[in-house]
Amino acid sequence: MRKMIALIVCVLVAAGQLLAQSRTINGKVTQDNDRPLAGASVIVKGTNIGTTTKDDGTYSLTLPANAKILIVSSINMEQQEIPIGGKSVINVTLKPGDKDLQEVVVVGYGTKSTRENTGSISKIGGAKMAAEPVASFDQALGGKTAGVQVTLGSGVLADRTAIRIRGINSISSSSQPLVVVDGIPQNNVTNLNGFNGGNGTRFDPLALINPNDIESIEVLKDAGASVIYGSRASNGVLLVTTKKGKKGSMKVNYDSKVGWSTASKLPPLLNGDDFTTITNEKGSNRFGTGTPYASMAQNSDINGDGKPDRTNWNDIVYRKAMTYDNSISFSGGSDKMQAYGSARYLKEEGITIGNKLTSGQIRLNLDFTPKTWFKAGVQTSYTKTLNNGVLTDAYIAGTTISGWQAEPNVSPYNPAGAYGYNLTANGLLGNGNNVTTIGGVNYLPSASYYLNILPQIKLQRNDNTAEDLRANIYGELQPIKGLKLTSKFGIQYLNNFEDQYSSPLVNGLGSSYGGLVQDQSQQYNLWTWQNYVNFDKTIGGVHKIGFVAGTEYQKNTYFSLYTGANNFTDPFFVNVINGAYTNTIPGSSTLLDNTGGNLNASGIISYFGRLNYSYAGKYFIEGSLRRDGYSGFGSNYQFGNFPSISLGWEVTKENFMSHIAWLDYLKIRGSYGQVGNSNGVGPYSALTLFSGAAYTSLNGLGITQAGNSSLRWETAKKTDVGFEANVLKNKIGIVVDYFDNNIDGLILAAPTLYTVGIPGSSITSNIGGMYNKGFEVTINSTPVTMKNFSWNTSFNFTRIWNKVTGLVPSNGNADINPSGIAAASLGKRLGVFYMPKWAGVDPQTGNPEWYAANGTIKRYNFGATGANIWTDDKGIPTAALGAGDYVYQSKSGLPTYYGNWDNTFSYKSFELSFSFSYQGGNLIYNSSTAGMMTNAFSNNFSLILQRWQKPGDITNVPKLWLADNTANQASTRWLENGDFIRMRSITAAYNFKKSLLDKIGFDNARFFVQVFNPFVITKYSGLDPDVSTSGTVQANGNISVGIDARATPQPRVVTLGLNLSF
Amino acid sequence: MKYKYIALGSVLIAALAGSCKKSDLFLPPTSSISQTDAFSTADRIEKSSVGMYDALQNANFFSGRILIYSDIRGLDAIPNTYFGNMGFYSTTSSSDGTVALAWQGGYRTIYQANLFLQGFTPNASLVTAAKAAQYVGEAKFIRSLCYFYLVNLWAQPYNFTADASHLGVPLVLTASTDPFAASNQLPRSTVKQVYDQMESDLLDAESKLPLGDQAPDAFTKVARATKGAARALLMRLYLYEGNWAKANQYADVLINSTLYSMNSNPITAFRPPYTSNESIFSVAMSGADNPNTNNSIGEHYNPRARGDIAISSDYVALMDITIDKRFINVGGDSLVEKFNGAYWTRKYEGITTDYVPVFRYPEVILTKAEALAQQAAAPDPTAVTLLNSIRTRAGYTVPLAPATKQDLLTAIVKERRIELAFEGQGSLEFNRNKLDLPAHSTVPIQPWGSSYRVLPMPKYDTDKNPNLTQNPGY
Repeated sequence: MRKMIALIVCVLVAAGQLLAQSRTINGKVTQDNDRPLAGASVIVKGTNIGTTTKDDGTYSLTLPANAKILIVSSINMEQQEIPIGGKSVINVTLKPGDKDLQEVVVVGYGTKSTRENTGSISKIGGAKMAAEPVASFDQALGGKTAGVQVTLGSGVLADRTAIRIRGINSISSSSQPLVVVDGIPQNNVTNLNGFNGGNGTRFDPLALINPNDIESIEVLKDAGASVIYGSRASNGVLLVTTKKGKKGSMKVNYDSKVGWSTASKLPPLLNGDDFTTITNEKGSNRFGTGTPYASMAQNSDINGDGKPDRTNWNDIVYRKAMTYDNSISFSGGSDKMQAYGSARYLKEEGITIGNKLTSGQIRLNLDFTPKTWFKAGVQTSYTKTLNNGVLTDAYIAGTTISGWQAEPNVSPYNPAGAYGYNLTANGLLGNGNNVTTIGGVNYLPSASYYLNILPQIKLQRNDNTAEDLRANIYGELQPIKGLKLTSKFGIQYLNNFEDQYSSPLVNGLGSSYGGLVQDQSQQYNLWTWQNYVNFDKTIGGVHKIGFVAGTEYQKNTYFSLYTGANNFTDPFFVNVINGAYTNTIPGSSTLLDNTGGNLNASGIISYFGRLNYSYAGKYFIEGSLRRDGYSGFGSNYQFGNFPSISLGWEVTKENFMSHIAWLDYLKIRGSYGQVGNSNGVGPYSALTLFSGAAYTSLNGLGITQAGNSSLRWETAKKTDVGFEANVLKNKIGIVVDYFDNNIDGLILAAPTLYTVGIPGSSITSNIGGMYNKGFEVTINSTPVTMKNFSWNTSFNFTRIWNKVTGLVPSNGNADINPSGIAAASLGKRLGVFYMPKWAGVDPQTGNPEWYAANGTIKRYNFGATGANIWTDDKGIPTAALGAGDYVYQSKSGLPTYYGNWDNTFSYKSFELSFSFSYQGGNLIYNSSTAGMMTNAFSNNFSLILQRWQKPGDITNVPKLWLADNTANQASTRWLENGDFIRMRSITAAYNFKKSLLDKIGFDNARFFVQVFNPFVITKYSGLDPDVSTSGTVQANGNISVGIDARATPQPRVVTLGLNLSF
Repeated sequence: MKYKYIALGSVLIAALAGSCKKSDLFLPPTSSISQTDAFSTADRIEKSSVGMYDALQNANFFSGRILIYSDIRGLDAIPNTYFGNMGFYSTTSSSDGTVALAWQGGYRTIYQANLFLQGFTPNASLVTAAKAAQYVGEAKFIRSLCYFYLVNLWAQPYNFTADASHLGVPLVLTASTDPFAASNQLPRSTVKQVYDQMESDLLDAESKLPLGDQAPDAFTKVARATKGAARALLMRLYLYEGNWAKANQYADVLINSTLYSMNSNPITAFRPPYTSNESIFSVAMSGADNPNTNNSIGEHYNPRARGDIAISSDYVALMDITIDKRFINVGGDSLVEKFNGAYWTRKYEGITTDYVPVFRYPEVILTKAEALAQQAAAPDPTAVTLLNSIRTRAGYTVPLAPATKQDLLTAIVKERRIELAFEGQGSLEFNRNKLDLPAHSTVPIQPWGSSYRVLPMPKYDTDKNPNLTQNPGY
C-alpha cells in the first residue's frame, strides 16, 4: 500500500499543471417538455472539466481559455455537443435516447455500452429480484433471462438452489456459476450447513444478500464475456452490482411487504379409516383374514377426547405462514460524494412448522470524488440471519418421512405424556392400539419409526445463525483522460454458527445421549486485492481502442470448530451451560468426545488483460486473456491460460442498410474462447493426504485421499454466434444466440476397483467430456403504447442438446450412476434414467410384472416359494429381476427446453403483470410416491386405494402384501413426464397519482398485491415438477437430476406491498 | 508534462506488479502430511501402524457391520432392510449398495495394511527389530482377518469342494501405485489359495507378534494384534478347513499360554472396559472414534438406540431361559431383553463405545471340543468336559452326556451358536457345518450349497474387471 500513497503524491503534482486562465458560462438544461433536467453532465470537450446541473436544471461552469465545445449528457438521453464560441449563456434541451442501446452493462473489471458489447451478456434489473417472495435472490433468477435455469431444492426456506447457465456444464464438480459481487469473486460455498454432510438444514449463503440493494445482475454466458474470470468461468458468471447514490438526487425509499404462504400442493395422505382398511388388507392378504395380521391397525383414543384418534398429519406439519419484510434505503449525492445506505428486517416463516428466517441486513456504499482525477469509495454490508431449520427429506425424523408415514389413527397429543405429547419411553410416536410387532417381527420400516413430528420440531433445534460481513475499498486515479488506475481491496467474512439440540424425550441422538447439543462454527474468510488499468481512446474520430490489464490475488481460509454437550441434568437445559451436563453416555462413565474442527486455506493468483478495438462504431474486435494460478490444482498444472476472441458488426450502420426502414438496429456478434471450471477442486483435492487416524486413545496416521498431481481445471471450449436486432421503430427487440460448449478434462471421481482399496475407491482426474449445444431466443416488445394504456411483453426460450462424450477410459467408460437409476453414460444425455421397464399388474393375480431385458415378462409372485417366486407370465420360473434387466430410458431429468413469458399492462395508474415459466423434455423419477406406496406398517399416498383386490381388476397398483416392497423397486412405474407451465406470479399494482404525491412531497407511492406460484399446469402427479431432489446441488447432483425424493412442497405466496419514495 | 508520464509509468508498474508473493497464497496443507513423511521417523511409523487399526474400524466392515452381516444372514438375528437386501438372500442383487460397501470396506482395510508394509519396508531400519517384527505381524494379521470374512461371505465354504478349488476372492497383496492399471484386474483366487495365503501370513505374524503378556496394559493385549490373536484366527481357519488336529493344536497353544480365561459371568466381556482375560482380540471403539451413529454395532442392536436388529425366538429357544445366564438377569444386567414385544441382545449396549469382539476364549474351548470330538469315534470325554465347562459357566448344573459322537457334535455346534451369537459367525456356522438355513422371518429355506448362500460380487467391480467371475445366480 505504501507504493500507492507515493503514486498518489506523484499524480497530485502532475494535476497541478491543469490550472490556467478562465471565464464563466451559465445555462439551463431541460427535457423535451421544458421540464428542468437535474443531474445532467456538462463537460468541456477534451478535458476533465465539467459539472452537473442542479435541481432546477441550471449550471455554472468556469471554462479554460482553450474551451471550444460543450458536451451535455444525461442518463437515457441523447448526448449533444454545442460549440461555445463567444456565448456566455447556453441553454440545452436533451431528447430521450434509445434506452436499451444507451444502456451500460457491467463487464469484468469495467463497464461497456450495450452497443459496443461483443459478448453474450444478459442484464437483469435488481427490482425484478426484489419483487419475488423468495429467500435468496438466486431463486428469483429463474426465467428472468434466456439460458438461465434455476431449480429449487425444496419448499424449505433458503434451501440450496441449482443455477444452470446454458445447461449443466460439469459431471462431478459444481455447475454453479461464479458469483461476483461488486467486482469481488465470491467463494463458492453453496451451503452453510455442515452437520450430516450439510444435508440436515440446507442454507444458501446468497440469502444473506439483500435483493433490494441489487442494482443489476449481469449474466455472462459466453467465453467472450466471461473469460476475464478464467478458471472459474465455464459455468457462466453472475455479476451482482449493488446500488450507488446518484448525483443530484436525494431519495428515501421505503418498502413494506406482508405475505401469506401455504403449500401449493399437499401430499395425498390416507385418512384414518382408509389407513385401517389398507393396513389390515396388507396383513390379511399375506397371512390370512383370521390372523392377528388382519387387524394390525386398531383405533385408539390417545388424546383423550373420547373419540378414536384421527390425525391429518398434513395439518400438523404444514401451516399458513407469515412473512414480514420491511426495508428502507437512502440514496443521493452531490458532485463529489454519493451515498447509498439501506437496512432491511425480514421475518419469514416457512410452510413447514418450525421453519423460519429472521434477518437483519444493513449496507452503506460511498463514492467520493474529491478531484476530477481521483475517486475512492467503500461498499460495506453486514447481515445476520437466524435460520430455524427443520429436518425434512434426509432423515427418518424428517417431516417428509415420519411426518408423511406416521399412522393417521394415532394422535400427536397425549395429555398424560411428557409436555402433552404422545411419546413412548424411548421417544417414538406411541402406536396406541396398533399392533406393529407380531411373532417378534417388527412390521414398521425399522424399530426407529415413527418420530412424532410435533415434539421432534417443538422440543428440538436445528438452527443456523449466519453472519456475512463484506467491505470493499477502492481508489481510482485518472492521470490523463481515458486512463484509469484502480486498486480495490475487499474482504468477506462469512460465519455460520450451527446449533442443534436433540431432546432426551425424542428418539434419536437425544434419547441415546441424555440430550445432546451440537454446535459448530464455520468461518470463511476471503480477501481479494485487485489492481488494474483501464484505458480508452478515440483516434482520428473513428478508431476507438481500449484495454484493461491487471492482477488479482485472493486468499480463502476456512476454519471450523465443533463442540457438543450431552447427558444433561434435566431436559430444562438445552444449551451448553457449564455444569449442566456430564458428556458421558447415560448410565456409564464413558466420556464422549464432542469436539472437532478443521482448517484449510487456498490462494488464487491471476493476471488478466482485455484489448478492444472498434472502427467507426461499426466493427468491433476484442481479445481477452486470463492467467490463473490456484493452489488447489495439482503441482503439474498450477497455472492455466484462458484466451478468447470476439467480434461484432453493427450492420445497420452500413450505408447499404439505410433503405431498410423496418430494421432499426442489427448487430451480429460471435465469440470463441476457452474457459475453465475449478469449482469442485478443493484446497487439497490434488494431494495424497496422510491425516490423523486415531484408534481410540492411540494417535495414528493413515491415508485419507489418493492424490493426482495433474489435477486441474475443467476446460470448456465455447463458441457463441448471435445477433441483436430492433425492428419496427424499436418496438420489438430480438436477441438470438447459438452456443456450442464443448467441455473436456471434466473432473471425475474416476472410480477404481473396490479391490484396489484406495480411500473412496476413486481418484479425481481430468478425464470426462461432454457438450451442451443449443440456442436462445429473447423477444422484448411493447406492442401497444397509447396515452393511457401500454403493454410490455418479454418472451424467452432456450433449447439445449446435451451429450456425455467421455468418461473413464481405463474403466471401459463405465457408467457413473450414484443413485442407481440415473447415469452419466457415454453417448447419452447426462443423467439418463436407467431402470427396468414396468409391465403392469397381472389382472388375474394382482402380481407385479416387469419386462426382462429380452422383452419377456418377469412376474413377482407374492407368497410363492422357491423357484416359483419369479416366473414369466405363463408361470414358468425365471431368474429374479436384476441388473441385467435395467435399460436406458430416452430421457434424463434434465429439461431440454425452458423459458419464460412476462407481461405488464399499464392503464393510467394501474398496472397488471404476470409471468409464466415453463420447461420440458425431461422425466421425473417419483421417488416420493415409490416410497409412500410401501407395504410396511405405514401411512400411504391415496394412490394405494387403487390396489388390485380381486381377479379381473385392471389397475397399476399390485395387491397389498405386508412387508414386501419388491413391487415398489425402481422401475419405469415411477417415471413421469416432467413438462410444466407455471404461472410464476401475478401482480396488480396501483401507483398513486403524481398530482396527489406532489402535494405531500412524495415522488412515488405504489401499492400492490401479488400471488406467487398460483398454479402449475403439468401431468406430473407429484407435489411439484420443479422440486427435483434434495441431491440437486450435492455431490453428483449433476447426474441425479430429476429425482423427486420427498421434497417439501413449494409454497404459494400472497403478498401485499407498499412502496413509498420521497 | 514529463512529471505526468513519470507518474503514469510508476502507477502502471505498481498496479501490474503490485504484489503478493506466491508463497503467501499457496500454503502447504494444514490437515495432512505427505506419504513419505508418514514413515520418516520411528514415531511416525508407530502412528502409521496405528493407522491400520483406524482402517480396521471401517464403518462398513469391522466397525461391526461385517459381523452383523454374517449374523443377519443366519437364524438368530432378524434381517432388516436397513441393511439393504443383505439379509434377504434371493432378493440381494449384484447392485445391492450394502453388499458393495461391505466389499469395498474389506479391501479398503486390506489396502491400509498393504500400504503400511510398502511404506514401512524401506524404512524398517528406523525402528527396533522388535518393533519392526510387530508392525509386519500386525499388518499381516489385519489383512488375514479381512480375507477371512471376504472369503467366507462371498464364496462357498472351504468344504464346498473336496480340494477347496472353487472360487474365492481376489487376493490383493500390494497397495497399487497405479490404481487404473490393468494389473489390478485380478481374477478370483480359489478358496484354497485364499486360505493358504491367510495361513502363511498368520504363521509369519504368529512368529513376529508379541505374546501379549508383556503388553503395557490390558487395552494393548486385547485391542492390538498379539500372538494370541494370530493363533485364534489360525485355529478358526483350521476348524473351517476341517483340519481337526491343527485346530486342536492351536487351541492348546492358546489354552496353555494361560493368558486367557473365562470370566465367571458371561456378561462381563461385553461391558467396559471390554478387556477381561476372556477377550483375545477385539476391535476397540471409543466415544472419540466410533464409526458413526449409523454404523456402530450398539446402535444397530440396542433397541433404545437405532435398534435395527431384534433377535429371533429361535435363538431364545436354544436356551433354558430360567437358568441360562446368557438370558436371565444377573445382578441387574442381562445379555437378552424383551423390549416392545421383541427380543433384543444386550451384548452391545454402549451405543458408540462397544468393542467389536473378534475372538473370545469360549471359542477356543468349543473349538478344541469340536476338534477332539471329530477325531474320535465315540464321544470324546475331554470334549464333553470342555463343552460342559461352557454350560456350567452359563449356570447349568446338570452336565450333558451325549450318547454318540453325532450327539456330541450337535451339542457343541448348538453351544457355539448360543455362546458366540451376534459375534459374526451366525451364517458361517451354517455354511461350514453344511446345514440348510431354515425359513425364517420373510426368508424362505436356503439349502446348503445353493447359490444365494454366498453374496454377489458387486456389479461395480464386475463391470470394471472382466476377470472377476460373478457367483452363480446373480
